Amino acid sequence: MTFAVETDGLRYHAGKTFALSGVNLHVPTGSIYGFLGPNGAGKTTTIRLLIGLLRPEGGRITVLGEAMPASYVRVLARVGYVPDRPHVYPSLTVAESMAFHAGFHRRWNARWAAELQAQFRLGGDQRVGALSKGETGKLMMLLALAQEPELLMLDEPTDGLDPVVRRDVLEALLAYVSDRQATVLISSHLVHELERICDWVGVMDRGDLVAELPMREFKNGIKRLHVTGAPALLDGAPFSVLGRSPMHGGAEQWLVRGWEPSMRDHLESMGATVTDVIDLDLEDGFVELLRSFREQR
Amino acid sequence: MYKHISKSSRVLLAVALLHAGVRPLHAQTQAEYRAQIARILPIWRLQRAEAKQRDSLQRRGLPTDTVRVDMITILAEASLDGLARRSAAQAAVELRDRFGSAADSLRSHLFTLKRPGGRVGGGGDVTVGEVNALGQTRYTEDVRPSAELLAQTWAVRGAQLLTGQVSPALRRWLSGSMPVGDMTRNSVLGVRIDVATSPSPLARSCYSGDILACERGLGVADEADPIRGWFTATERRVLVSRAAYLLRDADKPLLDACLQHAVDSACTAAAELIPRSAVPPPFGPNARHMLAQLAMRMGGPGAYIRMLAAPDTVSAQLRAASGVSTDSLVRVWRSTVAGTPLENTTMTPGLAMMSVFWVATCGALALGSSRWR
Amino acid sequence: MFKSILKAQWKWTRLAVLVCVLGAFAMPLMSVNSNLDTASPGMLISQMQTWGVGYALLAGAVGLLVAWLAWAADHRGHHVYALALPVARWRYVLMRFGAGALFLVPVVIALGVSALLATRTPGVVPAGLQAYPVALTLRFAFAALVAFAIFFAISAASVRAAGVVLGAICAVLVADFLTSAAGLHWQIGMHAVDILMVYPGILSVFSGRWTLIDV
Repeated sequence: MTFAVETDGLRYHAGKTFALSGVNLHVPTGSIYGFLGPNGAGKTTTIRLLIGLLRPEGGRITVLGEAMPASYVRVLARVGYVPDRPHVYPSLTVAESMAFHAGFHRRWNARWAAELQAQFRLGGDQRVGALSKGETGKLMMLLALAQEPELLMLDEPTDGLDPVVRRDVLEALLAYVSDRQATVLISSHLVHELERICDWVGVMDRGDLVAELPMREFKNGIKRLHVTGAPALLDGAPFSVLGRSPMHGGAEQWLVRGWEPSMRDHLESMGATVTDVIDLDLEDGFVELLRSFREQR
Repeated sequence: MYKHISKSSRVLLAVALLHAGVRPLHAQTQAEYRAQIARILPIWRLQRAEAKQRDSLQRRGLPTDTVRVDMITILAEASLDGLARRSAAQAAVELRDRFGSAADSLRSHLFTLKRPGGRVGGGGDVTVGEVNALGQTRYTEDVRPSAELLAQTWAVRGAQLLTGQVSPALRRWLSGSMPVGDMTRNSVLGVRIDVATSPSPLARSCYSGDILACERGLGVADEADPIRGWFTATERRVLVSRAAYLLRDADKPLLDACLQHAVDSACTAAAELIPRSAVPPPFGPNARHMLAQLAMRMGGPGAYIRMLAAPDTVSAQLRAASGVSTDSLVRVWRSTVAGTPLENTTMTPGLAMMSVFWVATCGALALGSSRWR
Repeated sequence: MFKSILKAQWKWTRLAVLVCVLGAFAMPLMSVNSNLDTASPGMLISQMQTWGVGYALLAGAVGLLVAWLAWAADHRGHHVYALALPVARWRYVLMRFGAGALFLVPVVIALGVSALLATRTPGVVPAGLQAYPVALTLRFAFAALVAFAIFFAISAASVRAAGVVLGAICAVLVADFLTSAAGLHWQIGMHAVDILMVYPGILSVFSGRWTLIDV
């Protein structure tokens, strides 16, 4: 497996309270990698480090096979970036913004840009500063896509957008990815949104990457079990117990990761009975994951 | 004859006789004796005068060493003899150069040089002064103990004293003393600025090449009506305001009409009441000094003596000093003034280079900002 | 790339440049016309020197405005867009600098043309005085460029660097106040101003004579 983005022991701190302490991130080439985490987890900082907006204090970053931030010019020519806040110049019109952006990107696809502009219903004469939040989001996505990047880094691109606009933006993104086999690193705290489109997921919390796995495993591997007669200790279990909480009647509720139906026999051999296995959606899994991770710390 | 001579003077006489190397008195005839007396008497008188002066100077707290170089005599403290001699030598050359043999009249004048407050030795300023005819010390001022500065002090004061020899018309025209030393580039530039900024229309005409205008502006042409010829209405008003104190109370209505109501006829009438000596030609004293310097330079040795001997008009005296006609002299003056260009200070190559340096430095700082590295 | 920067920057700067062009064009003509009836050349020179302050101020204002407007849009977006563009950062700064410097040109040309027109009018320059339209224009150009470079560097710098500059100025003012309060006549502020304003100080191009007509 090759990685479009790879970090090794990435360290950075901002102020006295926030620090990335040795993040090892691996974004497989051609994947849509959902970068999850609550607000303040370090997603935006990590993305800014990946594209060279910030300088790491330690560790190694490789983006599209090039070392960052040393090769930032070459890398940025191949990366489409949509930041968490509008960054385009508000005094320019949409057309001027597109022309400005095109001036810096050799692979700028003017025709496709025009198509996207029509698709997003953005008037060329509209001043960027006068665009609605949704229109600004669409413009930033247009700029990132029309430069035909090999890698898209999208930092909460749909945050605050209404559902219609969000759908437009994600559709354009998926169309591009399916056409060009591009890699996407998309951060969000809206877990259910990523659930539909991502094939890999990484979870950040308080400056740590607490999990990084294929979406399928993430979604299917985390279950809530109702167990009776549970032993106090669980040695040699083929799954991880992320959390245990008592229920009425001596039963317990477990949160497990890496659960397979065949593992029910293992538990029963220890004298426990699994009365219920509940599939968790991504959001529940995400919340439970964070909770268990925080309890371990 | 000798009974009137005091005891101390007799001792002095004896010393003088010994000093003169006379033969034994008994071997002389009466005629020889009288001749000998006649020869030594002036020496004795001179020495007696000097001794008396020394006594007098000591009593008045003045320096007692006499430094004499050419026409300059300086009473100096012993520790300042060397400084006095060097400065006197420089001043004497300048005064001789400018005034020729006329500078000899300074021989009887005494300058003084001492340390202020009777301080002995050490650094600090020195006090210069002079002793007037009544034996009083005057014009004392403290200056830096530099031979050049002191030489200038002696030369300027000497020139002031010597200017007393020139005619009143020339003295008035100079508005001061004869300048010593030759004109310098800076002094010519000063004249250029004075003339260029002169409010008189004569300055414009002079710059345009009208030699008569130059002569009128310099005050060396016959000016039948200087008040109208030299000045504009505005300048007449300024002239009257400056010289108002010279006018009598009876002229007050005229003054009011001129100064408060700007009536030109009143200003003209009031200006005409101002003594001629208080109405200077429009180009300013520096311009006139430069003309006098030019006349002296062109006339060479003896120029000043010839000037003293010339008839009592400024143009005649300058003509005599320079040896050329007034027109030629003024023409040279004008071409010298117009031909000495001022450096353009609005923009200089140094300023341009320095600006480029600072622009490059700021550009480098902008590039070196941590944000853009 | 430069074309893109030039176009965008022109959009942000054009109004300020236009106002400055009008000011620069009006100033020499006004300075001469308002002094046509000045009787004395000395007074004329003195009036011209008074106008000289105006030229220096205009040069400073042009430099400040163009430098500030060159960076204003990037400041608003916290420089994220600029830093995410695939261009070497030093090159980006140079392009912004170059574009800004180019926008000074119309103002300088306006001043030069106006100065030439003003001084070519017969009777404006009295005999004996000289007109210095080219020298004045060059000085204006250099002064505007220096002002632009200074404010450009400050704008391009991080907040910390700008804070250091501001802190240094405050330190001088405080030291000046404290020493004078203590009865020490060190005149730190005065010396600091001298270092800046007297040749070869960074602001020396703004001090001295700025006269269109002089001896």
